[in-house]
Amino acid sequence: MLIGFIAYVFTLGLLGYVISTIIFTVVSIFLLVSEKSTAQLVKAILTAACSVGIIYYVFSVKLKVFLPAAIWE
Amino acid sequence: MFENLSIGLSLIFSFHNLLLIAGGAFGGILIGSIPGLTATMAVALLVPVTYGMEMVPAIAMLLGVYVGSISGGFISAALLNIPGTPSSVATTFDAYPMVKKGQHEKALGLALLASFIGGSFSGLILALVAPNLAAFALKFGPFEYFALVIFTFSCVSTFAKSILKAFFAAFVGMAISMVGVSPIMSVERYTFGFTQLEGGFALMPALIGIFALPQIIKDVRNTTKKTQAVNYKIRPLALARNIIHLKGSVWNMIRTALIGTGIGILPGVGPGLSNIVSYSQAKSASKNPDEFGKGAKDGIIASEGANNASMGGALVPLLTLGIPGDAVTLMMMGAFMLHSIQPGPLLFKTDNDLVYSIFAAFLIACAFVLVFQLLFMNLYVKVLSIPKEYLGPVILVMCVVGSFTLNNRMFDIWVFLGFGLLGYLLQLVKIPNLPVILGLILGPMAENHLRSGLDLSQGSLLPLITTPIPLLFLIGALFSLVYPVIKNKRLEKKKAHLIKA
Repeated sequence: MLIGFIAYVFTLGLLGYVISTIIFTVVSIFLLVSEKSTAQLVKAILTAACSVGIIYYVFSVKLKVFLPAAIWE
Repeated sequence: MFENLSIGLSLIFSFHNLLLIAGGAFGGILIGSIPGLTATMAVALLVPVTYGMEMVPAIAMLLGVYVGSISGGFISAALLNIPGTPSSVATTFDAYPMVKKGQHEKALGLALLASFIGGSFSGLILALVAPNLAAFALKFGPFEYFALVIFTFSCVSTFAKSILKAFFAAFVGMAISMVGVSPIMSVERYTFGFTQLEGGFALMPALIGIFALPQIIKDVRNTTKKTQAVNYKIRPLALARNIIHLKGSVWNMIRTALIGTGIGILPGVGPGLSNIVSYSQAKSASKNPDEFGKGAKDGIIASEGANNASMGGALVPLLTLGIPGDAVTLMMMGAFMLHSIQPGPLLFKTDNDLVYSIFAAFLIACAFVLVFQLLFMNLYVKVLSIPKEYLGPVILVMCVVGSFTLNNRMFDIWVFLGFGLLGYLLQLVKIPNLPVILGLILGPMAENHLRSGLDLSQGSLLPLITTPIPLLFLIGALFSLVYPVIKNKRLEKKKAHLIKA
């Protein structure tokens, strides 16, 4: 988890908030759950998508603050 | 006082502010009820959201979160025997056995009523004591403040498991606080040519990192234990009816509220200690001490009343002296600074309305928490079943985003990570992290006041012992350091004597 998080911080500046957060959340949830199955992977993707979307909406749309951008943005 | 309080209430009583307090309280209970997610983390997650808000609504919402999360800790303490926050450790001793007897509504009802009474009592004490203490603190000069900082460090160290480790942590924090441009001479220190370090480390990313990251890593490590399914049916009226059980516990409630508020006022010590002290006092004062640990109602009242009473107490040193009472008020201090407001006695002169609106918001938050816990207890119980492996990564992401948005720079995310790793290392070697942050916040304050004092006294430290207030603080600091050592030696002697016998 800690190594994954450090990797996430590194990629945040390169890939931007949306892509790096989705990758980090999906991978870490899937690695942490005790029973690995397709259903758990789907749940992890859904959780990642929802949390990334909600945080993006609250900060970027509602509070009008910047989120880390990818290097090509 | 009441005139000022009514002004504060009128400032708070807008639909927008009430909605924010209610939202904060509701979310705070949710976070507090989940074991491992502490009140500190709840406030830390919310501080960045308040960045764009005005001061009164921002602090009002944070107070809602504070009150909600400390109070919400009893839910998992009672139903799972796992305290939701460290402030509910003693609640597990009697609430869980009571639940095991099939009296879950009684256990939860007593805890929520005691929480409300303890919190409201401390709110009133806060409104009563704080203005007078602030008026007194206006007389403080630089040496008084410097001695107060020393006293604060000694208090924190006394209540830590190892005085040496706590002092080491405080020195680490003070050393880190020296990074950047020095306050009086404007000389760059330890910046190593990095322009980002000229202003020192940003406080909020450091705070969030050191408290949140180690906690989340620790929680996620425990995910091998499967989340327990919790299935209880709770009726709001049955919870409220427990008020009749408080009838025979009036003295216990008063003692609990006084202990909680008193411990809360001590700098650097908060609800984490008050619930245990109050519980042991209630047990020793009880006519039936044997019932404690088997589902005694006075045990639940003592623990929950005290930890909630500590909240108002902890706000006293923050608002009057600019010294945080516990880890959560440390976060609140960060929020104040974020909004360019310096807590301290001058705040009562310059922003009296704001201070009283804080008191009013605190009391309203207590009322909201009571109502929400009565109405939505079934929902809060359901939250206990959310698996940690889903929560951990999402919370980490929120912390990262929060750290970034405060200044919109990647450097703050690195600060978050650096302080998180420092906190994690400290956790591994069992060094408390609270003194580090206290050192980080109070280090510049100590330096500024000591240097101004030395300027005034032409380089003499004598005013520290020749003027009464600094001398009193220094004696207090010395006593709080020496007393535990003497106490431990006495206990060792007693033990050795018993073994011989």
